[in-house]
Amino acid sequence: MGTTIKSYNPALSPTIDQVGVEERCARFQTRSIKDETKIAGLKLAMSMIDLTTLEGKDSVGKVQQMCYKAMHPHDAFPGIPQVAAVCVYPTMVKVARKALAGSKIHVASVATAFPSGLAPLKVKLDDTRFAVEEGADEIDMVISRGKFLSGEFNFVFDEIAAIKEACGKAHLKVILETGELSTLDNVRKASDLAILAGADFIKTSTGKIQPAATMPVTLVMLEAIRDYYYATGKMIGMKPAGGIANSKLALHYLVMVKETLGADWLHPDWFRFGASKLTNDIIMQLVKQETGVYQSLNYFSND
Amino acid sequence: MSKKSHKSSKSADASELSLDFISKLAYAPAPESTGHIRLQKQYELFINGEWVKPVKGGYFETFSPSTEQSLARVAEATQEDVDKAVKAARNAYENVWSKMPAKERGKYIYRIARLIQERAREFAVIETMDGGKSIRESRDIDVPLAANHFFYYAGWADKLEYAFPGREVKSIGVAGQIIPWNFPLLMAAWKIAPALATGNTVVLKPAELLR
Repeated sequence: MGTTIKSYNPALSPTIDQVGVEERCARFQTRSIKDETKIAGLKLAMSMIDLTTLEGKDSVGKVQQMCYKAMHPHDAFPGIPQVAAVCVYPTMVKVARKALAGSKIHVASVATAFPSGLAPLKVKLDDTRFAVEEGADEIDMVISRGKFLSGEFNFVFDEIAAIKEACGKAHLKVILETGELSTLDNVRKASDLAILAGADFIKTSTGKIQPAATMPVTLVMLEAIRDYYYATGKMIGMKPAGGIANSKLALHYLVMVKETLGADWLHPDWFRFGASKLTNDIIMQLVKQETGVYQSLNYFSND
Repeated sequence: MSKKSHKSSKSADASELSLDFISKLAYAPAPESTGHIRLQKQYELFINGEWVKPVKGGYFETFSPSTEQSLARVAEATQEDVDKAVKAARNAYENVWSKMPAKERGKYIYRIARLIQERAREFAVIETMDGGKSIRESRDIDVPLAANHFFYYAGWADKLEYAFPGREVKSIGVAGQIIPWNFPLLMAAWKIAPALATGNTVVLKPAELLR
């Protein structure tokens, strides 16, 4: 895509002060978010969700149901925004695309031998092209963590660059799978590498490995995005995925984004939540804010 | 990260780039209540265990920097007052404090520490009202550390002989102490606690900007 950078030099990534990062994350959780700000925050979080189903048992019916939920979060209570995208396996892209016809909701697809990423490049490229041809406008790829951890940065870099090319017009989200990277230093290195190799978004996790997204990991990635922005003026998106199950935690993440990257990133184009359970919790909280009472889970659809 | 590391061929002028931390997601204020604070209108000098008026009768106001309102009037000591204080401290040193067994002295210092802890929230709010520092600092640093210092030196009071075996441990006399304004209570604790714990007495001049 016209970039002149052909490789990644790990020496240029700063080391991370883990204790400082954890302390900073603890502070994000003490902000006072009330009333209108809370409602606005919840609606914003809702509009940033990538509603996801990535199970071996996914069926056409399941994907159709999820797409309906994406378009009609809670019809009994109008005013709740639609989610940003649905995220499915490549073979389900066509189903999702059809089910979402007429809406502005994006279709994201995981690709590149998700979740392990252990397939030859040719297979990964085919996987990616297939998803794009089926109608995905966002591709969530996984990096080769084994290669990254053994120091073969150029291998990982070239792979991301090749996938980016295969994506064509589709946006590329690069999953670092931070739960397998061991240290925050590695998270920072992988973030810088992915950004330089052409990622439009960087994403924490597949959701298949614990721990998935955590606040410290997300902060380190946000700082990589911030430093890249200061250096080049280019904005990169961020997507924490997995483990963000309730509204309160989602608001803490938004506080972190606001205080690290600022208001420009508080938009579904630049920040996403990879989550499924979060959706219902936000709907419940919004209904509670409006009516003053919590409703039973029975009043909300399961998917 | 150094800015060079990520410069691409199309790099923008980094000096023009800025992030907007203000708009969107405005936080509600979370003020610490000052409702429970009961300050006297006027504070005297504390000499020989009593509050006494200054000899020359001078007072000055102490202000809250956030509101510029006067919090209280505070006695201004002159040379006569200092002489009185030093005499009282010398008397207390020679006749009571230095003669007291170290273990007994320690009990008093422990008591001071616990009194600070018991009223920690009140002290923290007053410290912030008076000095203008954030409540986070006064609540999480100044006051708890001040209490910790008294606890620490109270523990040392009767153990110095073991810390420095073979050396004679003895008190020195009256200590004149001057406290800066940036950590008024904490710095006072740093200086008062070890002096008292080792059997000395103290004449203390707080910062006149904050006290």
